[in-house]
Amino acid sequence: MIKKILIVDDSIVARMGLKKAIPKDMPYEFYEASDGASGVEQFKTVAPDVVFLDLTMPVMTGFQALDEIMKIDKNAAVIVVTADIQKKTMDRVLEAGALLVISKPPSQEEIRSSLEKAGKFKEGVMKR
Amino acid sequence: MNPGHRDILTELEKDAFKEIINIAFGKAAASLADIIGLYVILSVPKIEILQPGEIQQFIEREINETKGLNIIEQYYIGKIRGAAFLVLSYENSKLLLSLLDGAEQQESLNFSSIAMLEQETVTEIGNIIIGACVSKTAELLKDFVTYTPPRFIGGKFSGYDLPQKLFDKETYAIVLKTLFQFENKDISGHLFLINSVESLDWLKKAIHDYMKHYGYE
Amino acid sequence: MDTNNLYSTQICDMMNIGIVVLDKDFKIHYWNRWLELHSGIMPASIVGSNLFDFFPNLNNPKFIRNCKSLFTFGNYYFLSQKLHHFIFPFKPVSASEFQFEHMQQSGSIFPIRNDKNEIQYICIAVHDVTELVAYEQKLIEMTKRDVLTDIYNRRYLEERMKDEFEKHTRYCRTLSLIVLDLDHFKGINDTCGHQYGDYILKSIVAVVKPCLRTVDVFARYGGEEFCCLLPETDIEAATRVAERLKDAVAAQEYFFQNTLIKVTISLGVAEACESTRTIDALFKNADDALYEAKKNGRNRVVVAKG
Repeated sequence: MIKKILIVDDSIVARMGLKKAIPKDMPYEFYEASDGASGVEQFKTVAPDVVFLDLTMPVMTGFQALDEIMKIDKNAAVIVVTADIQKKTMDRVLEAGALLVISKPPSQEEIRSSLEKAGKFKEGVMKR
Repeated sequence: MNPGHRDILTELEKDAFKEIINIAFGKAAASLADIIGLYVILSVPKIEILQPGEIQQFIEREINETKGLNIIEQYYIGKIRGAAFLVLSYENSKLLLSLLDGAEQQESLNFSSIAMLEQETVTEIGNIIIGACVSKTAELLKDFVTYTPPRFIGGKFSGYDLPQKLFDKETYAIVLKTLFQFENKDISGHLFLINSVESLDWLKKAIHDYMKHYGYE
Repeated sequence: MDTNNLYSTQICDMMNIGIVVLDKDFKIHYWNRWLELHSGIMPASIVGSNLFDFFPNLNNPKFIRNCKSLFTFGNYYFLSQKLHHFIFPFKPVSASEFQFEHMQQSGSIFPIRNDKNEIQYICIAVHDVTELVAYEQKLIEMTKRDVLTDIYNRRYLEERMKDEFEKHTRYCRTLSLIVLDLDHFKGINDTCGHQYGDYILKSIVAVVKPCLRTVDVFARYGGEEFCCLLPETDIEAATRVAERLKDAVAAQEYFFQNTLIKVTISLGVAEACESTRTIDALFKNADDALYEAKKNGRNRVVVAKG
């Protein structure tokens, strides 16, 4: 069951858009961070069920934040949402432990299906 | 809309524009990797609203170096219009040359010819990088642009004047800056896009249309 | 629209530039009259073919990279004559002082969009810049030459000395320099007049030049002083060259109003080595040796102590 969602992105507009794209059928709790470092902090205190993580951010990049999060919880469900759509980038974040990578701007359909997958992953029905 | 104000874009519009640029540059990097066969990293773009008189200083502060630079300038004209500057250090230009082509013919050339070859290669790559970033930005804003030939303007910005046809001294310009890196090759450079605000209303509308389309509004 | 089409076809055929239109697969869709004129290929026999079948010189990574960029980004690509010399290997139109094997061309490539604003074709526009390049080369050549003797001048010598010295330090290439000076030239000028002095200078050049290789830089340094910059030459070989020059000049006989005049030269030779850190140091070594040769009786070669 996905309840707590953490969105880490330096752009307010991107966070807004992402929240809007999330289906309204569930009473999700949203947490937000605007850079990698505070994203990791929030992850520690909130322990979210799923994280939407941007890659290009100030203070700490998404790559570093991803590494930190995986260190804290190797079962974390991190969905990388990025404008960097080079194959090498996708390979790199998947190898670092991201559950999924979706390109910016995400469509409602992509968000819905990625939440579904994250849910299954959390229940142990689906592997990485 | 009076373009004589520093707050010609609201914070939200600026943020949205930055996100558009971010996505555009991401697409640009992916296509660049395909075309020149190098993995490119583009940093978070920086957006500043500046007066033409402040731009030179801004650029010099951002690149943090004033000597040993190769600068390529190119103008683009569409609904968005302005001047692009690609700044590479002299050392990085040499590396780039050896990476792309021409390295094998260097031996047979005299030194002034090598300098010219370097200049031409940097100009060619500048043309492609600027073209990639500008065209993908235009594409997201449902615009397309044409370009003037890229011009090698030498080693420093001081004494350089922005073209008056594009920039009125009284108005502001929307300045975008990104750092690009060719991974594993230790080559990095700066890209500046100085957008005129001549079609500010159009730009605002394009930003809002984009936000609406993706549910941001 | 129809009139527009009518105009554009005529304009493309009348313009003094080459215009070819290609698709993503480099298939030729349009070939204008200028190209027909200079290539001898009729549009009917080239339209529909692959560009590289006719012009394999363009089938290179750089050209393809830039065309791909055009189709993806819709930017321009500029082909400068300085780097490429030509796009299509055509014969030059008129013979000029400088014989070019090919017409010198500069060009640009730009995208052509369809009514949906998608880039469907690219267009290459080619200009003949042969005449311009010929002028440029003539001017460049003029800045290198000495007016009287037509050998290289001091400006060019200094440029080449810098280049060759750089090669010496960077790639450890051997490099030698001969500085030579006519003996008692002032006497010839005083007794026979400057016109005769000029004649002697030109004659000496005519004697020295055939003794040197084409890679050597023979230049008039000033007055009656000349330099020979000898790349890839060590001090022994350079000394042999210097001796040969001395003997060749001494063997000549000149007459002024039926009086026999013998002309000799003194020469200083030096090689770039570890102690010569700069090109100026090399020059000074050779010049000092020349001074020794003058002091020791002229018509001789002195080798700098390395």
